[in-house]
Amino acid sequence: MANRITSYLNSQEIPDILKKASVAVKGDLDGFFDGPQNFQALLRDALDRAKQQGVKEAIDKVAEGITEHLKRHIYEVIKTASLVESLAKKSLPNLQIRDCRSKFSFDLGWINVFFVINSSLEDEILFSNLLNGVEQAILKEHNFIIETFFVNDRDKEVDYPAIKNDYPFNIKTIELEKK
Amino acid sequence: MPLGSQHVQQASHNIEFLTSFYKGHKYNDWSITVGFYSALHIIENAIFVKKQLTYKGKPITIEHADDLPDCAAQSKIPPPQNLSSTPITPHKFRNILVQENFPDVGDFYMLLYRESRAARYKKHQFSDNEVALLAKAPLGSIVDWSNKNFATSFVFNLE
Repeated sequence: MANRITSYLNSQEIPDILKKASVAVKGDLDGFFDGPQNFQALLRDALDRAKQQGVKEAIDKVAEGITEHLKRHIYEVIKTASLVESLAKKSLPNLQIRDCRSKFSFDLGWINVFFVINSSLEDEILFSNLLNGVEQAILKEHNFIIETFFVNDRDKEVDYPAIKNDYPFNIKTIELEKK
Repeated sequence: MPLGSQHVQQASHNIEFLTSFYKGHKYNDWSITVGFYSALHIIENAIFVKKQLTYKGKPITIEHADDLPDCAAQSKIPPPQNLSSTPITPHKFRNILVQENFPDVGDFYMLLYRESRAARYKKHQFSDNEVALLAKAPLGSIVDWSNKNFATSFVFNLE
């Protein structure tokens, strides 16, 4: 093969580009490239493409993980809220749950559920005890740490903008979106 | 990490502070918060003194609530699914330990915890009756329980 190339090289009829190609085959890569597209540039382009592909695959994987995470978090939040609501209806009929909101963090791993209630002080204390039972049940049955909080707005003007800021997700909205 | 005696000192300090302004009822929101932080140190002392606790029904040896993930791992108890490698606030671990191990005061402690968080949204509107029911009574019960079971001698008199 090398002899044949050498013989072609010696021929005047061979175009310059083929002469350069044959030089490359012989091992002199630098001689093959003429102009901006050299070996380093090609390598850089290939690496860039690989990086882009890698980043895309990594993003897809992370997005898939987050979606799964999100679904699981939302499931636990709704489960907690539903459980609290049904237990409160049965055991604290005079207590009204006005709103139920949530916040969660994938990075830090916490899930908080917040209730705005309207009740007497005595029922407020019992509601806190009820939340303890729910938190323990979720930990035992689902192995999830969920924190539950509330504010009682009876005879008070609560800071709703702060509540919405701290707990941006409205459980009812999430439920509607799921349907 | 503080020793049990340091938690006792901090709890006494907080209770003294609470006593200094409670009766004026001008800072009822702060009564809730200081009440909670007094209870927190009483509970941490109880954890430190008792050491042999349970988590999800299984025995663990622990001195500080923050150590719960490590202690659970040593006892081969699977961690909660949403427990990340980034440490979360030890409040959550303490709450779990209190509710499981100190049922006599678990509800009181959790009430103080939640009320201290709710104070942010109540715009200083805690009434005198509220603060008596939601801070004074639960903290008083926790103090009595500690004095009885953990050889502490907290003085608690908000009358």
